Amino acid sequence: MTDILFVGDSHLGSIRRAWDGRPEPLQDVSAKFFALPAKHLSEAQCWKPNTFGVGHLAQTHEAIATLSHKINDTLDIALDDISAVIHVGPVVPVAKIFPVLSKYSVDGIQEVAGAAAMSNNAFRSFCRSIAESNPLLPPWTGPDVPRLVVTRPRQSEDAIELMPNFVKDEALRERFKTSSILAAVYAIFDDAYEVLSSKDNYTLVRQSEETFGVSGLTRSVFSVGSKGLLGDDHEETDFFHMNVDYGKLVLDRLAESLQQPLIGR
Amino acid sequence: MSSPYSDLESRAFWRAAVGERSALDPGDLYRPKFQIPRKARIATAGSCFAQHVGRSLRNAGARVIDDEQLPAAISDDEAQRYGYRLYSARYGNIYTTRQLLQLHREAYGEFEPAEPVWEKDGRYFDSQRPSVEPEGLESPEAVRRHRDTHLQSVRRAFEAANVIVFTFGLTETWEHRATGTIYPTAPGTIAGTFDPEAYAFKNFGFNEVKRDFVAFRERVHAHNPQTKFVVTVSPVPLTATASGQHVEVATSYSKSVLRSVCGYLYQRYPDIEYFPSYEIITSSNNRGAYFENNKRSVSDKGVQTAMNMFLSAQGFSVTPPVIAEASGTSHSTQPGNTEPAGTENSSAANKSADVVCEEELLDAFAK
Repeated sequence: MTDILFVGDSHLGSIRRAWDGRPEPLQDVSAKFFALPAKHLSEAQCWKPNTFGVGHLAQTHEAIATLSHKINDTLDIALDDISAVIHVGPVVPVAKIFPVLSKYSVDGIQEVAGAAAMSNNAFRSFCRSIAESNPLLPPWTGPDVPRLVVTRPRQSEDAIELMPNFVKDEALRERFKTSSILAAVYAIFDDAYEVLSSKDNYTLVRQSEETFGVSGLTRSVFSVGSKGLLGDDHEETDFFHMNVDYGKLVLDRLAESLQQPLIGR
Repeated sequence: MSSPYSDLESRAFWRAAVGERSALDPGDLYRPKFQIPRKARIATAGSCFAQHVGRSLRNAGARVIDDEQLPAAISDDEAQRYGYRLYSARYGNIYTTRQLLQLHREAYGEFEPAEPVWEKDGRYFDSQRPSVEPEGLESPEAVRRHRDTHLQSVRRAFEAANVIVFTFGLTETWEHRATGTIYPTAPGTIAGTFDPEAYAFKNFGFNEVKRDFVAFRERVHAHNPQTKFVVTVSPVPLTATASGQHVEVATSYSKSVLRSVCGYLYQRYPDIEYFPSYEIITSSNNRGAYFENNKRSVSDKGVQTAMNMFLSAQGFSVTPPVIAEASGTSHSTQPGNTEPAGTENSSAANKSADVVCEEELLDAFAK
């Protein structure tokens, strides 16, 4: 039996719920889960040998400790038999390039009448620059085992229409609705992080293609029925969290990604 | 019996102002003719050294126009590799006043450069700013399309400017024989092919440089009569000369012409200020301390000394530079500075003190 540790924020919920129906290649793998809301997750650390969690905060940060108990039934996870760590929830910072898309026509990405022209090479380079300054891999001082990153799911497609804050520029929002601009931009970021993952020695688990709608965001069907870490239903206007069907697809991808580092050995 | 020299300040006398001044004391070389208002919108252009000017102004919180702005999330290194965040529009280095005038005329549809597109290895480059796309573009049409939108930015930047800071860089350039079009780099250096039948070496004289800048000033005033100018001469010597003279002699000629023109402009026009960056950096009082080991590149200390003198005389805040340990470059930041919406970039994110300078590519041709 191989043990793997999932560490993540609220987006770990869909995976945890899908785990019991995990695909065949993962049947012999046992999993430990440690989740906290994103704003507290960085507090969790390997605070003593072979132990990961928030035990060091038990006396000083009661709220976090209580939350960990509720979500994880524990403050800490023992790392003795862990063969891989899977970080769930790091954000692909696509939104940071939106100001460029608001202002420029970008060769091969979008044509905007009257806008300044930007070359495809420059645009890709700028996306890479943003990716480099926003690494996905969280700090880790635990055992030296293979590490994988499952990024936060792209928002559901409804976000373009129903969540004005997602794309504040109205003209850009309209372009996103009716084109595959976002899909192209996400692909550039994913490629950039793929390169960085080789350099930083981790495996990037890309979001499954079959979850994408035409816009490049996650098909709305995957956000229906999503639940919080405590099992509570997400609000209908939650366009960020995905359901157990999405979690199953993540596990399919993980099964492929883990094949070499773990299962096959 | 009185002498016209008897009531002069000590700064008028070499012994007191220079001979007895301690080394690296920048002295009292600059007293502004006019103050640049804090809220003035400033456009910058010129040779490589002008990048230091723009960066220092931005770091001091001045409202430096950036019409082709990028979000702060993109690093300076990447932005500058593609010609962004160098000047008020993405025109790259403007080494001569003819190039400046030519650009302004082109921006208003009164000039079309000959051979606007250069080719190299199947990629296409804008001959008027070949360094802004290091990998070139996929077609000549793309180059033209990019240039069209860039020229709109040029117009907006110069029309919005209350003050234009221009750094005079060179007198030497390359001219298209048939049309007089000049280029920022020799054909064949970054892209294109040098054809001696088509292109000729050109070394401008005083009257040409003067006429070009005066014409530029008049054109700017036609759109915005209140615009003022700050001119300065780059202290950076030539990388190479095609004049046939020794490069040091050619440098002396070039800088003398440019300095003379600036002197003329300063005396002739109340709206033109001269800032003596050339004198500050090249003064014998410094014993060469403001140059790098190649005796050409201006050191961070030199840039800082010159720009601090300008900024403090103009009432901008001067912050000590933060030395970046890894790169050896320096940068300063302005606390509390936020990047406003619109066309002005007063971002404090400009950390790299390196300059993008295609003229230095000529060094590769040295034997």
